[in-house]
Amino acid sequence: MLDDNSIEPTTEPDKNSVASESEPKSSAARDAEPHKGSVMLEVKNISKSFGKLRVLKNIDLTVNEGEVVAIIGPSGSGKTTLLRCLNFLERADEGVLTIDGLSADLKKTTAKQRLALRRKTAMVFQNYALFLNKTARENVTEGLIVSKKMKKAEARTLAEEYLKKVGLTDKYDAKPFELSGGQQQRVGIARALALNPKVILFDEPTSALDPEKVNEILDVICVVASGATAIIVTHEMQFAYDVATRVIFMDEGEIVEDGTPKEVFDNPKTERTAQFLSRFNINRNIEYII
Amino acid sequence: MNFSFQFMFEVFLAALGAVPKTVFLAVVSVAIGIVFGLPVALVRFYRIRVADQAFKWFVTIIKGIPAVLMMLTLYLLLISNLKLKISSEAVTVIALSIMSTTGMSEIFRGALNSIDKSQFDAAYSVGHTTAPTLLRVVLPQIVPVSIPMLCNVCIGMIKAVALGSLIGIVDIMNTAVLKASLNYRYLEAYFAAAIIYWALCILMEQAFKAVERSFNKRIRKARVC
Repeated sequence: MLDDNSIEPTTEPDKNSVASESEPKSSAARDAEPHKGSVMLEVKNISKSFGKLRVLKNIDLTVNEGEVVAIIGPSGSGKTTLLRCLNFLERADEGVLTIDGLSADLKKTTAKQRLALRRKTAMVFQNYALFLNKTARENVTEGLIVSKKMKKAEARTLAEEYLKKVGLTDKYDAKPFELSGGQQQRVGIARALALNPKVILFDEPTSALDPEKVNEILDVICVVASGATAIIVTHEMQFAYDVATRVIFMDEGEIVEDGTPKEVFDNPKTERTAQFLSRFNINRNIEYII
Repeated sequence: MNFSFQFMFEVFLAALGAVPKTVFLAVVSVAIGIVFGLPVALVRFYRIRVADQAFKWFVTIIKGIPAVLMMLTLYLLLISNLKLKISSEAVTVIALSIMSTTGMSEIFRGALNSIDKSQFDAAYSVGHTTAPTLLRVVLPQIVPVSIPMLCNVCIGMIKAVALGSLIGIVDIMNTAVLKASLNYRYLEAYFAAAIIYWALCILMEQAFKAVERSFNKRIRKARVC
Protein backbone atom coordinates (compact mmCIF):
# COMPACT_ATOMS: atom_id res chain seq x y z
CA MET A 1 0.00 0.00 0.00
CA LEU A 2 2.82 2.33 0.90
CA ASP A 3 4.57 1.79 -2.42
CA ASP A 4 1.67 3.32 -4.19
CA ASN A 5 2.35 7.00 -4.63
CA SER A 6 -0.63 7.85 -6.70
CA ILE A 7 -3.66 9.53 -5.33
CA GLU A 8 -5.93 8.47 -8.15
CA PRO A 9 -9.19 7.18 -6.79
CA THR A 10 -9.15 4.23 -9.17
CA THR A 11 -6.43 2.56 -7.11
CA GLU A 12 -8.33 2.91 -3.86
CA PRO A 13 -10.62 -0.12 -3.65
CA ASP A 14 -8.04 -2.92 -3.58
CA LYS A 15 -5.96 -0.95 -1.11
CA ASN A 16 -8.93 -0.67 1.16
CA SER A 17 -9.62 -4.35 1.22
CA VAL A 18 -6.06 -5.11 2.28
CA ALA A 19 -5.19 -2.33 4.60
CA SER A 20 -8.16 -0.87 6.36
CA GLU A 21 -9.65 -2.11 9.55
CA SER A 22 -13.07 -1.42 8.13
CA GLU A 23 -15.98 -3.47 9.29
CA PRO A 24 -17.19 -6.06 6.79
CA LYS A 25 -20.47 -4.34 6.07
CA SER A 26 -19.02 -1.10 4.78
CA SER A 27 -16.23 -2.69 2.80
CA ALA A 28 -18.82 -4.90 1.13
CA ALA A 29 -20.70 -1.77 0.29
CA ARG A 30 -17.58 -0.31 -1.22
CA ASP A 31 -16.86 -3.41 -3.28
CA ALA A 32 -20.30 -3.18 -4.77
CA GLU A 33 -19.70 0.44 -5.65
CA PRO A 34 -15.97 0.84 -5.89
CA HIS A 35 -15.70 4.38 -7.20
CA LYS A 36 -17.09 7.69 -6.11
CA GLY A 37 -20.17 7.79 -3.99
CA SER A 38 -19.41 5.50 -1.07
CA VAL A 39 -19.30 7.15 2.34
CA MET A 40 -15.77 8.09 3.33
CA LEU A 41 -16.35 10.20 6.41
CA GLU A 42 -19.38 10.51 8.61
CA VAL A 43 -19.96 12.50 11.78
CA LYS A 44 -23.16 12.22 13.70
CA ASN A 45 -24.40 14.56 16.36
CA ILE A 46 -21.01 16.09 17.10
CA SER A 47 -20.91 18.72 19.85
CA LYS A 48 -18.12 20.73 21.34
CA SER A 49 -18.00 23.46 23.96
CA PHE A 50 -15.19 25.67 25.11
CA GLY A 51 -16.31 26.42 28.65
CA LYS A 52 -19.83 27.79 28.37
CA LEU A 53 -19.51 28.60 24.68
CA ARG A 54 -21.10 25.94 22.47
CA VAL A 55 -18.95 25.93 19.36
CA LEU A 56 -20.50 22.94 17.61
CA LYS A 57 -24.18 22.17 18.12
CA ASN A 58 -25.08 18.59 17.24
CA ILE A 59 -23.71 18.65 13.71
CA ASP A 60 -24.25 15.81 11.25
CA LEU A 61 -22.02 15.58 8.19
CA THR A 62 -21.47 12.89 5.60
CA VAL A 63 -18.71 13.15 3.02
CA ASN A 64 -18.54 10.70 0.13
CA GLU A 65 -15.41 9.40 -1.47
CA GLY A 66 -14.03 11.82 -4.05
CA GLU A 67 -16.01 14.79 -2.77
CA VAL A 68 -14.31 18.13 -2.28
CA VAL A 69 -16.29 19.87 0.43
CA ALA A 70 -15.76 23.56 1.09
CA ILE A 71 -16.86 24.82 4.49
CA ILE A 72 -17.54 28.55 4.48
CA GLY A 73 -18.95 30.90 7.06
CA PRO A 74 -18.12 33.83 9.29
CA SER A 75 -15.26 33.73 11.80
CA GLY A 76 -16.22 32.01 15.01
CA SER A 77 -18.85 29.86 13.36
CA GLY A 78 -17.02 26.65 14.31
CA LYS A 79 -15.59 25.70 10.91
CA THR A 80 -12.04 25.20 12.10
CA THR A 81 -13.16 23.52 15.32
CA LEU A 82 -15.23 21.05 13.32
CA LEU A 83 -12.23 20.28 11.14
CA ARG A 84 -9.93 19.87 14.14
CA CYS A 85 -12.42 17.56 15.82
CA LEU A 86 -12.24 15.28 12.78
CA ASN A 87 -8.58 14.46 13.45
CA PHE A 88 -8.72 14.84 17.25
CA LEU A 89 -6.56 17.94 17.48
CA GLU A 90 -9.63 19.11 19.35
CA ARG A 91 -11.62 16.61 21.42
CA ALA A 92 -15.33 16.74 20.73
CA ASP A 93 -17.66 16.36 23.71
CA GLU A 94 -19.97 13.90 22.02
CA GLY A 95 -20.82 12.40 18.68
CA VAL A 96 -19.87 9.46 16.51
CA LEU A 97 -17.10 9.71 13.93
CA THR A 98 -16.61 7.19 11.13
CA ILE A 99 -13.78 7.45 8.65
CA ASP A 100 -13.32 4.79 5.99
CA GLY A 101 -15.39 2.27 7.92
CA LEU A 102 -13.65 2.83 11.25
CA SER A 103 -15.96 4.23 13.92
CA ALA A 104 -15.53 5.74 17.34
CA ASP A 105 -17.86 7.22 19.92
CA LEU A 106 -16.28 10.60 20.54
CA LYS A 107 -17.38 10.64 24.17
CA LYS A 108 -15.09 7.75 25.10
CA THR A 109 -12.35 7.21 22.56
CA THR A 110 -9.18 5.38 23.45
CA ALA A 111 -5.77 6.69 22.43
CA LYS A 112 -5.52 3.78 20.01
CA GLN A 113 -8.81 4.66 18.30
CA ARG A 114 -7.84 8.30 18.03
CA LEU A 115 -4.51 7.39 16.46
CA ALA A 116 -6.06 4.95 13.99
CA LEU A 117 -8.66 7.49 12.89
CA ARG A 118 -6.18 10.32 12.77
CA ARG A 119 -3.87 8.27 10.57
CA LYS A 120 -6.62 8.09 7.97
CA THR A 121 -6.46 11.86 7.66
CA ALA A 122 -3.86 14.52 6.99
CA MET A 123 -4.06 18.23 7.58
CA VAL A 124 -2.83 21.38 5.91
CA PHE A 125 -2.61 24.25 8.38
CA GLN A 126 -3.37 27.93 8.17
CA ASN A 127 0.07 28.91 9.48
CA TYR A 128 1.79 26.09 7.54
CA ALA A 129 3.05 24.52 10.80
CA LEU A 130 6.12 22.99 9.19
CA PHE A 131 8.53 21.28 11.56
CA LEU A 132 10.94 24.16 12.08
CA ASN A 133 13.92 21.95 12.82
CA LYS A 134 13.57 19.95 9.63
CA THR A 135 14.23 20.55 5.94
CA ALA A 136 11.46 20.57 3.34
CA ARG A 137 12.20 16.96 2.47
CA GLU A 138 12.38 15.87 6.11
CA ASN A 139 9.04 17.55 6.75
CA VAL A 140 7.48 15.24 4.21
CA THR A 141 9.37 12.08 5.20
CA GLU A 142 8.71 12.55 8.93
CA GLY A 143 5.25 11.00 8.92
CA LEU A 144 6.22 8.38 6.36
CA ILE A 145 9.16 7.11 8.38
CA VAL A 146 7.60 7.26 11.82
CA SER A 147 3.93 6.43 11.48
CA LYS A 148 4.00 4.57 8.15
CA LYS A 149 7.25 2.77 9.03
CA MET A 150 8.64 3.39 5.57
CA LYS A 151 12.34 2.87 4.77
CA LYS A 152 14.30 6.13 4.78
CA ALA A 153 15.51 5.92 1.17
CA GLU A 154 12.03 5.05 -0.03
CA ALA A 155 10.51 7.93 1.94
CA ARG A 156 13.07 10.35 0.49
CA THR A 157 12.23 9.41 -3.08
CA LEU A 158 8.54 9.67 -2.37
CA ALA A 159 8.99 13.03 -0.64
CA GLU A 160 10.86 14.46 -3.62
CA GLU A 161 8.15 13.21 -5.91
CA TYR A 162 5.45 14.99 -3.89
CA LEU A 163 7.52 18.15 -3.56
CA LYS A 164 7.84 18.16 -7.35
CA LYS A 165 4.10 17.69 -7.62
CA VAL A 166 3.46 20.87 -5.63
CA GLY A 167 6.05 22.77 -7.63
CA LEU A 168 9.10 22.78 -5.35
CA THR A 169 11.95 21.20 -7.23
CA ASP A 170 15.07 22.93 -5.94
CA LYS A 171 14.30 23.46 -2.28
CA TYR A 172 14.54 19.95 -0.87
CA ASP A 173 17.17 20.88 1.71
CA ALA A 174 15.80 24.28 2.66
CA LYS A 175 14.67 24.85 6.25
CA PRO A 176 11.26 26.48 6.76
CA PHE A 177 12.85 29.83 7.66
CA GLU A 178 14.52 29.86 4.25
CA LEU A 179 11.22 29.47 2.43
CA SER A 180 8.58 32.05 1.61
CA GLY A 181 5.04 31.63 2.89
CA GLY A 182 3.84 30.22 -0.40
CA GLN A 183 6.71 27.75 -0.54
CA GLN A 184 6.11 26.70 3.06
CA GLN A 185 2.48 25.99 2.31
CA ARG A 186 3.52 23.92 -0.72
CA VAL A 187 5.63 21.81 1.60
CA GLY A 188 2.67 21.60 3.95
CA ILE A 189 0.49 20.28 1.14
CA ALA A 190 3.15 17.80 0.03
CA ARG A 191 3.50 16.59 3.63
CA ALA A 192 -0.23 15.93 3.83
CA LEU A 193 -0.48 14.31 0.39
CA ALA A 194 2.48 12.00 0.88
CA LEU A 195 0.67 10.29 3.74
CA ASN A 196 -1.86 9.12 1.16
CA PRO A 197 -4.74 9.96 3.52
CA LYS A 198 -8.32 8.89 3.05
CA VAL A 199 -9.42 12.45 3.76
CA ILE A 200 -7.33 15.61 3.49
CA LEU A 201 -8.31 18.43 5.81
CA PHE A 202 -7.41 21.96 4.74
CA ASP A 203 -7.68 24.57 7.50
CA GLU A 204 -7.82 27.98 5.80
CA PRO A 205 -4.76 27.10 3.74
CA THR A 206 -4.41 30.52 2.16
CA SER A 207 -5.36 32.88 5.00
CA ALA A 208 -1.77 33.77 5.87
CA LEU A 209 -0.66 34.41 2.29
CA ASP A 210 -0.53 37.58 0.23
CA PRO A 211 -3.17 37.91 -2.54
CA GLU A 212 -0.75 36.88 -5.27
CA LYS A 213 0.37 33.72 -3.50
CA VAL A 214 -3.20 32.82 -2.64
CA ASN A 215 -3.96 31.98 -6.24
CA GLU A 216 -0.77 29.97 -6.64
CA ILE A 217 -1.62 27.82 -3.65
CA LEU A 218 -5.25 27.49 -4.68
CA ASP A 219 -4.05 26.21 -8.06
CA VAL A 220 -1.92 23.60 -6.31
CA ILE A 221 -4.83 22.57 -4.09
CA CYS A 222 -7.11 22.45 -7.13
CA VAL A 223 -4.77 19.98 -8.81
CA VAL A 224 -4.19 17.75 -5.81
CA ALA A 225 -7.78 17.86 -4.58
CA SER A 226 -9.22 16.44 -7.78
CA GLY A 227 -9.84 12.79 -7.16
CA ALA A 228 -9.05 12.97 -3.45
CA THR A 229 -11.58 13.32 -0.69
CA ALA A 230 -11.02 16.73 0.82
CA ILE A 231 -12.63 19.06 3.33
CA ILE A 232 -11.53 22.66 2.94
CA VAL A 233 -12.30 25.42 5.39
CA THR A 234 -11.86 28.58 3.36
CA HIS A 235 -12.67 32.23 3.03
CA GLU A 236 -11.94 32.12 -0.70
CA MET A 237 -15.46 32.13 -2.09
CA GLN A 238 -14.40 32.02 -5.73
CA PHE A 239 -12.33 28.95 -4.98
CA ALA A 240 -15.21 27.29 -3.17
CA TYR A 241 -17.44 28.06 -6.12
CA ASP A 242 -15.02 26.79 -8.75
CA VAL A 243 -13.34 23.82 -7.16
CA ALA A 244 -15.60 22.35 -4.49
CA THR A 245 -18.13 19.72 -5.44
CA ARG A 246 -20.14 20.69 -2.39
CA VAL A 247 -20.38 23.78 -0.25
CA ILE A 248 -21.39 23.91 3.40
CA PHE A 249 -22.27 27.18 5.08
CA MET A 250 -21.83 27.23 8.84
CA ASP A 251 -23.00 29.80 11.31
CA GLU A 252 -22.98 29.76 15.12
CA GLY A 253 -21.99 26.12 15.38
CA GLU A 254 -24.59 24.79 13.00
CA ILE A 255 -24.69 23.78 9.37
CA VAL A 256 -27.08 26.29 7.86
CA GLU A 257 -26.83 25.26 4.25
CA ASP A 258 -25.43 22.30 2.37
CA GLY A 259 -25.46 21.82 -1.38
CA THR A 260 -23.61 22.16 -4.65
CA PRO A 261 -21.74 25.43 -5.15
CA LYS A 262 -24.40 26.51 -7.62
CA GLU A 263 -27.24 25.84 -5.19
CA VAL A 264 -25.58 27.58 -2.25
CA PHE A 265 -24.13 30.57 -4.09
CA ASP A 266 -26.87 31.16 -6.63
CA ASN A 267 -29.99 30.17 -4.73
CA PRO A 268 -29.27 30.30 -1.03
CA LYS A 269 -32.17 28.83 0.89
CA THR A 270 -31.79 30.87 4.05
CA GLU A 271 -31.65 34.57 4.73
CA ARG A 272 -28.40 34.20 6.73
CA THR A 273 -26.56 32.54 3.85
CA ALA A 274 -27.75 35.13 1.37
CA GLN A 275 -26.68 37.89 3.74
CA PHE A 276 -23.20 36.37 4.17
CA LEU A 277 -22.69 35.75 0.47
CA SER A 278 -23.98 39.15 -0.61
CA ARG A 279 -20.57 40.60 0.15
CA PHE A 280 -18.80 38.48 -2.43
CA ASN A 281 -18.81 38.90 -6.15
CA ILE A 282 -18.58 35.45 -7.64
CA ASN A 283 -17.40 35.26 -11.20
CA ARG A 284 -19.85 32.83 -12.74
CA ASN A 285 -18.21 31.42 -15.79
CA ILE A 286 -20.22 30.43 -18.83
CA GLU A 287 -19.50 26.78 -18.27
CA TYR A 288 -21.15 26.94 -14.89
CA ILE A 289 -24.28 28.59 -16.22
CA ILE A 290 -24.81 25.96 -18.89
CA MET B 1 50.77 48.47 50.94
CA ASN B 2 51.77 44.97 51.65
CA PHE B 3 50.71 42.86 48.67
CA SER B 4 52.88 40.01 47.44
CA PHE B 5 52.36 39.41 43.74
CA GLN B 6 54.79 36.57 43.98
CA PHE B 7 52.66 34.77 46.56
CA MET B 8 49.55 35.46 44.55
CA PHE B 9 51.20 33.82 41.57
CA GLU B 10 52.20 30.83 43.71
CA VAL B 11 48.63 30.40 44.90
CA PHE B 12 47.38 30.87 41.34
CA LEU B 13 49.54 27.99 40.10
CA ALA B 14 48.54 25.77 42.99
CA ALA B 15 44.84 26.51 42.54
CA LEU B 16 45.04 25.85 38.79
CA GLY B 17 45.63 22.23 39.73
CA ALA B 18 42.18 22.15 41.31
CA VAL B 19 40.42 23.45 38.20
CA PRO B 20 39.67 19.98 36.78
CA LYS B 21 38.08 18.91 40.05
CA THR B 22 35.87 22.01 40.27
CA VAL B 23 34.84 21.71 36.63
CA PHE B 24 34.20 17.99 37.01
CA LEU B 25 31.96 18.43 40.07
CA ALA B 26 30.07 21.26 38.38
CA VAL B 27 29.57 19.38 35.10
CA VAL B 28 28.39 16.22 36.86
CA SER B 29 25.91 18.28 38.90
CA VAL B 30 24.57 20.00 35.77
CA ALA B 31 24.36 16.70 33.87
CA ILE B 32 22.34 15.12 36.67
CA GLY B 33 20.25 18.28 36.75
CA ILE B 34 19.46 17.88 33.04
CA VAL B 35 18.65 14.18 33.37
CA PHE B 36 16.17 14.77 36.21
CA GLY B 37 15.09 18.27 35.24
CA LEU B 38 13.69 17.29 31.84
CA PRO B 39 11.20 14.71 33.17
CA VAL B 40 10.13 17.17 35.88
CA ALA B 41 9.56 19.82 33.21
CA LEU B 42 7.60 17.39 31.00
CA VAL B 43 5.38 16.28 33.89
CA ARG B 44 4.63 19.88 34.71
CA PHE B 45 4.16 20.84 31.05
CA TYR B 46 1.61 18.09 30.51
CA ARG B 47 0.09 18.74 33.95
CA ILE B 48 0.15 15.08 34.89
CA ARG B 49 -2.02 14.66 37.95
CA VAL B 50 -0.48 14.51 41.45
CA ALA B 51 3.10 14.42 40.11
CA ASP B 52 2.61 17.92 38.72
CA GLN B 53 1.58 19.26 42.13
CA ALA B 54 4.33 17.32 43.90
CA PHE B 55 7.04 18.69 41.60
CA LYS B 56 5.62 22.18 41.86
CA TRP B 57 6.07 22.08 45.63
CA PHE B 58 9.47 20.43 45.34
CA VAL B 59 10.71 23.20 43.04
CA THR B 60 9.28 25.93 45.25
CA ILE B 61 10.83 24.50 48.39
CA ILE B 62 14.27 23.87 46.91
CA LYS B 63 14.34 27.31 45.29
CA GLY B 64 13.97 28.87 48.74
CA ILE B 65 16.93 27.09 50.30
CA PRO B 66 20.40 28.65 50.08
CA ALA B 67 22.97 26.30 48.53
CA VAL B 68 25.23 26.61 51.61
CA LEU B 69 22.43 25.52 53.87
CA MET B 70 21.57 22.61 51.60
CA MET B 71 25.17 21.45 51.55
CA LEU B 72 25.80 21.72 55.28
CA THR B 73 22.48 20.08 56.10
CA LEU B 74 23.08 17.19 53.72
CA TYR B 75 26.60 16.77 55.10
CA LEU B 76 25.37 16.52 58.67
CA LEU B 77 22.42 14.35 57.70
CA LEU B 78 24.21 11.89 55.41
CA ILE B 79 27.66 11.63 56.98
CA SER B 80 27.25 12.53 60.66
CA ASN B 81 23.74 11.25 61.31
CA LEU B 82 23.14 8.40 58.88
CA LYS B 83 26.84 7.45 58.93
CA LEU B 84 26.94 6.86 55.19
CA LYS B 85 30.41 6.14 53.87
CA ILE B 86 30.49 8.78 51.17
CA SER B 87 33.00 11.50 50.43
CA SER B 88 32.48 15.23 50.82
CA GLU B 89 32.70 15.42 47.03
CA ALA B 90 29.69 13.12 46.75
CA VAL B 91 27.73 15.27 49.20
CA THR B 92 28.63 18.34 47.15
CA VAL B 93 27.41 16.71 43.95
CA ILE B 94 24.17 15.56 45.61
CA ALA B 95 23.46 19.02 46.98
CA LEU B 96 24.28 20.80 43.73
CA SER B 97 22.36 18.26 41.65
CA ILE B 98 19.22 18.95 43.64
CA MET B 99 19.72 22.67 43.08
CA SER B 100 20.41 22.28 39.37
CA THR B 101 17.50 19.87 38.85
CA THR B 102 15.07 22.56 39.94
CA GLY B 103 16.89 25.15 37.84
CA MET B 104 16.96 23.00 34.72
CA SER B 105 13.33 21.92 35.14
CA GLU B 106 12.25 25.57 35.14
CA ILE B 107 14.42 26.28 32.10
CA PHE B 108 13.00 23.34 30.16
CA ARG B 109 9.46 24.21 31.20
CA GLY B 110 9.92 27.71 29.87
CA ALA B 111 11.42 26.37 26.66
CA LEU B 112 8.54 23.90 26.20
CA ASN B 113 6.05 26.71 26.66
CA SER B 114 7.88 28.75 24.03
CA ILE B 115 7.29 26.10 21.34
CA ASP B 116 4.36 27.02 19.12
CA LYS B 117 1.37 24.75 19.69
CA SER B 118 1.14 24.25 15.94
CA GLN B 119 4.31 22.13 16.09
CA PHE B 120 2.43 19.65 18.26
CA ASP B 121 -0.62 19.82 15.99
CA ALA B 122 1.52 19.19 12.93
CA ALA B 123 3.25 16.21 14.51
CA TYR B 124 -0.04 14.67 15.60
CA SER B 125 -1.55 15.37 12.18
CA VAL B 126 1.10 13.24 10.44
CA GLY B 127 0.28 10.38 12.79
CA HIS B 128 2.88 10.82 15.52
CA THR B 129 2.21 9.63 19.02
CA THR B 130 3.52 11.65 21.98
CA ALA B 131 6.97 10.02 22.09
CA PRO B 132 8.08 10.80 18.51
CA THR B 133 6.41 14.20 18.77
CA LEU B 134 8.67 15.03 21.70
CA LEU B 135 11.84 13.26 20.57
CA ARG B 136 11.83 14.22 16.91
CA VAL B 137 10.05 17.56 16.81
CA VAL B 138 9.79 19.33 20.15
CA LEU B 139 12.97 18.48 22.07
CA PRO B 140 15.30 19.38 19.16
CA GLN B 141 13.60 22.77 19.18
CA ILE B 142 13.90 23.41 22.90
CA VAL B 143 17.67 22.82 22.88
CA PRO B 144 18.61 26.13 21.23
CA VAL B 145 16.08 27.97 23.40
CA SER B 146 17.60 26.48 26.56
CA ILE B 147 21.27 27.06 25.80
CA PRO B 148 21.67 30.64 27.09
CA MET B 149 20.01 29.67 30.37
CA LEU B 150 22.00 26.43 30.55
CA CYS B 151 25.13 28.56 30.39
CA ASN B 152 23.92 30.50 33.44
CA VAL B 153 23.35 27.31 35.37
CA CYS B 154 26.81 25.98 34.48
CA ILE B 155 28.53 29.16 35.63
CA GLY B 156 26.42 29.19 38.77
CA MET B 157 27.42 25.62 39.53
CA ILE B 158 31.15 26.29 39.06
CA LYS B 159 30.88 29.05 41.61
CA ALA B 160 28.66 26.96 43.88
CA VAL B 161 31.26 24.19 44.05
CA ALA B 162 33.31 26.67 46.11
CA LEU B 163 30.75 26.18 48.88
CA GLY B 164 31.97 22.60 49.09
CA SER B 165 35.10 23.94 50.72
CA LEU B 166 32.96 24.38 53.84
CA ILE B 167 32.54 20.62 54.07
CA GLY B 168 36.14 19.88 53.23
CA ILE B 169 36.52 19.36 49.48
CA VAL B 170 39.74 20.73 48.07
CA ASP B 171 38.63 22.75 45.08
CA ILE B 172 39.98 26.00 43.64
CA MET B 173 38.75 28.02 46.60
CA ASN B 174 39.99 25.66 49.29
CA THR B 175 43.40 25.21 47.65
CA ALA B 176 43.89 28.96 47.76
CA VAL B 177 42.67 29.25 51.35
CA LEU B 178 44.84 26.37 52.54
CA LYS B 179 47.91 27.99 50.98
CA ALA B 180 47.15 31.27 52.70
CA SER B 181 46.55 29.72 56.09
CA LEU B 182 50.34 29.16 56.33
CA ASN B 183 51.28 32.84 56.12
CA TYR B 184 47.94 34.64 56.54
CA ARG B 185 48.18 36.30 53.11
CA TYR B 186 44.48 35.71 52.44
CA LEU B 187 44.03 38.75 50.22
CA GLU B 188 46.54 37.45 47.67
CA ALA B 189 44.97 34.01 47.81
CA TYR B 190 41.48 35.40 47.23
CA PHE B 191 42.68 37.45 44.28
CA ALA B 192 44.32 34.39 42.74
CA ALA B 193 41.13 32.37 43.14
CA ALA B 194 39.04 35.21 41.74
CA ILE B 195 41.17 35.39 38.61
CA ILE B 196 40.75 31.67 38.00
CA TYR B 197 36.97 31.74 38.47
CA TRP B 198 36.72 34.77 36.27
CA ALA B 199 38.73 33.11 33.47
CA LEU B 200 36.73 29.90 33.79
CA CYS B 201 33.44 31.73 33.46
CA ILE B 202 34.58 33.70 30.43
CA LEU B 203 35.75 30.50 28.76
CA MET B 204 32.45 28.84 29.55
CA GLU B 205 30.49 31.78 28.22
CA GLN B 206 32.43 31.85 24.95
CA ALA B 207 32.02 28.10 24.50
CA PHE B 208 28.25 28.40 24.93
CA LYS B 209 28.14 31.34 22.53
CA ALA B 210 29.83 29.19 19.90
CA VAL B 211 27.32 26.39 20.44
CA GLU B 212 24.47 28.88 20.26
CA ARG B 213 25.75 30.27 16.97
CA SER B 214 26.00 26.84 15.41
CA PHE B 215 22.42 26.10 16.48
CA ASN B 216 21.21 29.39 15.09
CA LYS B 217 22.60 28.38 11.73
CA ARG B 218 20.81 25.04 11.76
CA ILE B 219 17.54 25.88 13.48
CA ARG B 220 16.04 29.28 13.38
CA LYS B 221 12.56 30.13 14.44
CA ALA B 222 10.62 30.99 11.35
CA ARG B 223 8.08 33.61 12.16
CA VAL B 224 4.91 32.95 10.28
CA CYS B 225 2.00 35.23 9.50
